[in-house]
Amino acid sequence: MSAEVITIILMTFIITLAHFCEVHGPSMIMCTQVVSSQDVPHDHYGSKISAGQLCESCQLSIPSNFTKEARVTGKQNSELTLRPSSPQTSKTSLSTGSESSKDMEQGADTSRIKLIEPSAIQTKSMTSDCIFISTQFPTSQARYSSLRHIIMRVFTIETSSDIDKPLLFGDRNTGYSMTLLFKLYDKTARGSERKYALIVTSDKEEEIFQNYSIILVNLTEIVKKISKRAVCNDERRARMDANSNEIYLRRSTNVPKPKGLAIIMDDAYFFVRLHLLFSLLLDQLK
Amino acid sequence: MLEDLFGIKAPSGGQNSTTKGIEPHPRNISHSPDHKFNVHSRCQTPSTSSHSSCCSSPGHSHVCRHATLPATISSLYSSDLGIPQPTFKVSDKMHCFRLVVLQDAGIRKKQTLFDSALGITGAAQNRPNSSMYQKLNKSLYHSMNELSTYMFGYYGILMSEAYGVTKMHYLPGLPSMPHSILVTRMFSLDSTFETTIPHNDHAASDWDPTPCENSADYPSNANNSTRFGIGFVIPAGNDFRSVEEEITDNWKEISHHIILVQKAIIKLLKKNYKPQTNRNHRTSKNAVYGYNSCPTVAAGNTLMTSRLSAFPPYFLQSNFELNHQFHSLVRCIQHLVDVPRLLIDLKESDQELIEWSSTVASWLELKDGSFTASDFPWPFEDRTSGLTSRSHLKFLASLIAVLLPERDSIFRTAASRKMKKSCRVVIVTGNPMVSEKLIFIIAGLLGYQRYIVHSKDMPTESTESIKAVRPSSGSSSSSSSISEETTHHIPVPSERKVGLPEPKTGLSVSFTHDKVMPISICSKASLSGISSESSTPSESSSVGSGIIIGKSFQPPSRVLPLISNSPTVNALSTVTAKRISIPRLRRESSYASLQNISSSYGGPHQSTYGSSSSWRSALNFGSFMEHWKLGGTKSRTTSVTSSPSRPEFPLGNDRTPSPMAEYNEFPWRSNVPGTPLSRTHTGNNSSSSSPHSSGLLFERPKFKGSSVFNKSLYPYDSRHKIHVPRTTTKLTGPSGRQLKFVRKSVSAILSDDLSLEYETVGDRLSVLIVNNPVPADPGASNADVISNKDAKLPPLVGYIDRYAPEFTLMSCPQTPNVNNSITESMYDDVYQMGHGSQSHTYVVNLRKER
Repeated sequence: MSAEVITIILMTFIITLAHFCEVHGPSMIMCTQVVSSQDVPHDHYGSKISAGQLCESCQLSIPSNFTKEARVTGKQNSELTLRPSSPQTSKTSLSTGSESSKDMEQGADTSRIKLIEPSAIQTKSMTSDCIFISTQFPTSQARYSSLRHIIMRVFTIETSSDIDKPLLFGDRNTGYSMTLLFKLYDKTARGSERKYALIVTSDKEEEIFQNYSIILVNLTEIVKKISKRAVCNDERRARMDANSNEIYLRRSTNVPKPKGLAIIMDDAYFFVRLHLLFSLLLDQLK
Repeated sequence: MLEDLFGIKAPSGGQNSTTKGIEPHPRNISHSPDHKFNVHSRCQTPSTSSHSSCCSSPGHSHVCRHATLPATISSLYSSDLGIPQPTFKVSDKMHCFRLVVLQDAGIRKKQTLFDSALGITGAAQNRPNSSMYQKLNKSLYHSMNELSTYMFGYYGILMSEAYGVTKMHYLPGLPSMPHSILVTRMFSLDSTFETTIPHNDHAASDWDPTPCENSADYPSNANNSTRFGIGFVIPAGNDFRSVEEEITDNWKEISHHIILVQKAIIKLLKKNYKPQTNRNHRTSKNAVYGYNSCPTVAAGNTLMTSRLSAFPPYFLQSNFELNHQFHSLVRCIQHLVDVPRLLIDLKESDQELIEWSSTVASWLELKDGSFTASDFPWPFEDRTSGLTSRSHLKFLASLIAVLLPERDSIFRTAASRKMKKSCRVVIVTGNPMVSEKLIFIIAGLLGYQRYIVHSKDMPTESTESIKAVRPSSGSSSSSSSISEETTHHIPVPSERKVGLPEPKTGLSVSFTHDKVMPISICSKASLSGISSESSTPSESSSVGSGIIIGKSFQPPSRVLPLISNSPTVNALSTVTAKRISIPRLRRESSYASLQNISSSYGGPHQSTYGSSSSWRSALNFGSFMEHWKLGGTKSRTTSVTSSPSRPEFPLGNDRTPSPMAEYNEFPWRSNVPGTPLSRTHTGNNSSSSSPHSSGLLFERPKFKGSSVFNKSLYPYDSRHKIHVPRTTTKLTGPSGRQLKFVRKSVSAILSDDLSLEYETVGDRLSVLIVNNPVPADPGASNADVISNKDAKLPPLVGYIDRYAPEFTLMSCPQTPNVNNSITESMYDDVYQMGHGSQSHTYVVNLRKER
C-alpha cells in the first residue's frame, strides 16, 4: 500500500438533548444529525412516536399545522398553500412570528388539508449541500444504541465538580462525547428542578477534542439563553399565579408532573429553534 | 566522523494488527534492509543514557540556551510584541502535574498503586499501616477519594464494560492550583493479562467509533476482568482557551503518552503477577497476588474479595519506568504549550532572506577549508547586494531542494499521518544564532503561505514563485552566464493535494493553485558537481531535460561533503524560474564539508576557537571574529577604511547579531526581572537598550505589497510591522469574531420569526422544514465567519535545548544521545501510524564532532 494513499474520513457529529426524567430516568428528547446530499433524507425521518408512549417531559413536540398548538392565525392560514413537489410529496408553507404561540388560540382555523404529524425537523446547511435532521431518536440502530449508552453514563455515572464545565468522555464502543449539563427550575418537578444535558457526539475521538472550543462556546451560549429565558418565564408565571384565585395556596399546584421543555420555555416552536441552534453548531463543525 | 547532512529513514511499520496479545513495542520493530538513507551507526545503538536524564523532577527541567534578538523574534514569530506567550504557561506549574494509578477493588474501595505526588520514595512511607503515613499537600493535590470518584464514576456505580474509556473532567479548585483538569484512562485486565483490539458492538457503516490510537486494550476474558484507572492531573488556566491550547489541541500526543503509560502498567503488573491457587493465603501482605484463573470460581462476592487484595497499595510507586513515562508526558506538554511556533512572513523578493542566506553561507564559508584568499575579493565587490559567499549558498539551495518534496509532511502533520508518513528536520548545532537563521530560511521557503495570504495588489509574478531578487547593481557576469545554461526543473508538490481534507485545526483559507508557489531552482547543467547518479529519479515526473528529483529523491548512499564550486549567489538570486539539482557530493576537499562547520565562531562552544588553522590567522580572521563577537561596536566604515585589504563580512553579515548580544535563556521560560529577556517584552523591541545591539538594529524589510494574515482577519500595520494576535501555538484573531457570531446567532434564533414548511412524504412521513438564515455578520458572509477558526500553527520551532519529537522542524544542540532520541522517535512514529508507514528525519549537522 502506497504511503501516498490518503484516507478520507468524513466527520460524523450528532447533537442530542437528553433529560433525566423523574419517571423514565435518562431519556433522549431530540437528536440532530448531518445527512449528506447523497443520502436520502427520508431514511432519517423515522416514525412519529405516538402520544402516550412517552411522557410529556420526554416527548419531542414538533408543532404541526393541524394540531391545536400549531394552528395558525387566519392571516397566516391564508398563506397556506399546497405545492406538489413530487408525486409522493406535498408541501405547505407558513410563517410564524415570535408571538405565534400566543396568537394560536385566536381565530384558529383547522387546516383543511389532511396532514401527517411531522416526525422530523429539517434544515439545509448554510455552508454545504448537506442537511440537518432532528428527530426524537436516530433511525440507525448503532447510533441509537450508542446514544442511549452515553445518556445513561451522563446522568448516572459521571460527575462534575461544576455543572457549568463540560465533561468529555468516550470509548471505542459508543463514540466520544462532550456534554454540558444544565438545570431548569420548575416547582412542579421533583426537587424543583429538571436536569438536561446537551451532548455532542462523534465517532472520532480526535474530532471531539479538536473542536473543543467551538462546541463549548456554542453549548455554553445555548444553555445560557435557555436558562435565562426559563427564569424569566418562571417569574412571569409566579406573578400570574399570585393573582390567580384558582391555584392560590392550592396543594395541587406543586404536585410533581411531567412538563415538556416547550412548555417551560413557553414557546411551542422551541424545539424548532433548538434544531436551528444545533444546526448552527453542526455547520461550524463540518 | 559525522555526516554533514544525513537522513534517517525508519523502516516501514511492520507491526501487524494482531487481535490478541500485547502490541509489540516500537523498539521491537526490525530494521528494513532497504534504507534509502544511511542510518548513522550511533542511531542504531540503544541509548543507555536517555533514561537517566528523565529522572529529574519536571519542575527542575533542563536549562535552556537560546539566542533571540528582537529582530529575530519579529522574523521568526511575526510578532513585534516580543516572544509569543501561551495563554497558560505550563512551566510555571510543573509541580502541579500528577499521575495516579488506581485499581478497582470494590464499590467503595479503590486501591492506589501509584501517585506521583508522593515521589519515587513514597511507597514505603505510605502503606496504610505505616507510622510514617504521609499526608498530601491538600492545597496542591486533590484527595485520592475525590479523584477516584471522577475516574471510576459517581457513587461507584459500575457499568459492565471492559472497553478502554477516556475522560476529561474539570477538577475543583485548590488554593495553590485554582484550575486543573483530570484526564482519565480506564482499562480492564483479567488474570491472563492478554488484551486484544475489541470488536465494536455498535459499529455500522455510518457509525464507527474510532479512537485516536488503535491500541489493544480489551481483556481476553472481559467477564472476569478488573478495572484500572490512570489519572493525569494537568494544571490549567481559568480561560477555556488555556485548556484548548494545553490539552485538547494536543490530545493526540497526550493520548499516545497515556496509552504508553497503560502499556507500561500492564507490563509491570503482568511481570509481578503470581497466580494463586490457595485462596487462604490472600490476606498475606508481603506478596502480590492475582486472581483465581478459574472463571467459575471467580464470581460474586468471591471475586470481589479476591480483587480487594489483588495488588498491594503503592505497588508501582517506586517503579522507574512509570516515573519515566510520567516525566515524558509532562515534558511533552511543556514543549507543546510553551515553545513558540514559527510564523514567518517570508515574501518573495525579501531582502531579509538574502541577507540571512548570506549570513548563514558566510558562516559555512568561514568554517570551510575552501575559504581561501582568492574568494575574498568577490564579496566585497558586491557589498551593496548583501551577498557574501559563493559556495555555501549552494548548500542552502541543495538543502531546500532536498526538503521541498517533504514540505507537506513537515507542515501538515495531521494530513501526513493520514498519508502514513512523517518527516522531521533537525538542525543539530551548537550555535543557536546561525541555526535560527537557517530555520528562518527553511521554514520561510517551505511555505507559510497557508497562513499568510498576499493581497491582490501584490505583483502577480511574485506570487508564482519564490524570488530572491538581487539588486540591479549586483548583477554580474556570472548571472548572465547561468541564465544561458540548460536548466533543470524539479517538480514540487502542490501545497494542497487533491482529495486531501483540510485539517480541522487549521484555517480553511482556500488554497488555490495560483497561490501555490511552485518553487523553482535553477542550476547550471554543466556544473561539474551535478550528476544524475546523485539522485534517483524514481516516481518523478520529467520536465524538459535534465535531472529530475521527485518525491522519492534518494540521497546518496553515503553522505559526502558538499562541493565547493557550488552555485554562486547569482544562482540563488535567479531561482525565479530555474531549478537546481542536488550537487554531486565529492570528497576531494576534506574541508569543504559541513563537518568543519563548527560552532566555534561565536557559538557558545568556544573550545574549538583556539584550535583554528593557520589560514584564519593569515587572513586576520581572528581579529574580525573578535570584533564580531564583541558586538560589532566598530562601524563598518571604520573597519574598511583602516584596513581596506582586510577581509570583512559585507552588509549582510553586519546584521548578524553578536553572541554577546544574544540571550542565553529561552525567552518562553519564566522571565527574570533585569535580564535581557525581560527587556524584550517591554517597550520598543527594535531599539533595544542593550549596548551591544546598537549596531544590530533590525528593521523589517519593506514590503513590496501589502500582506494580510488569514483573509484580512488580522490587522496589518502600514508601518510595515506585523501585529498578529497569537499565542505560542496558534493565531487567535478569528476566534473573537466567531464568538460574537455565535452569540448573535443564538439570540436571533431564539427570538426571530421562523419560516416553516411542511413536507409530506407518502402517506406516513412528514417533516417540518425550517428555513431560517442566520443573521449575517457585517462585512463577511456566514460561511466565512463559520469557517474561520483559530489557526493552529504547524509544529515548527526555532532553537530548543534538546531534541523534541513533537516538532517537525527544530534546532537543537548536539548531545550525546540525540541520535538515539531521533531514532526512537522515528520508531514511535511508525508505531503510531501503523502498517506501511514511513518516518523520515533529515539531520543537518552544523556542529563539528570530534
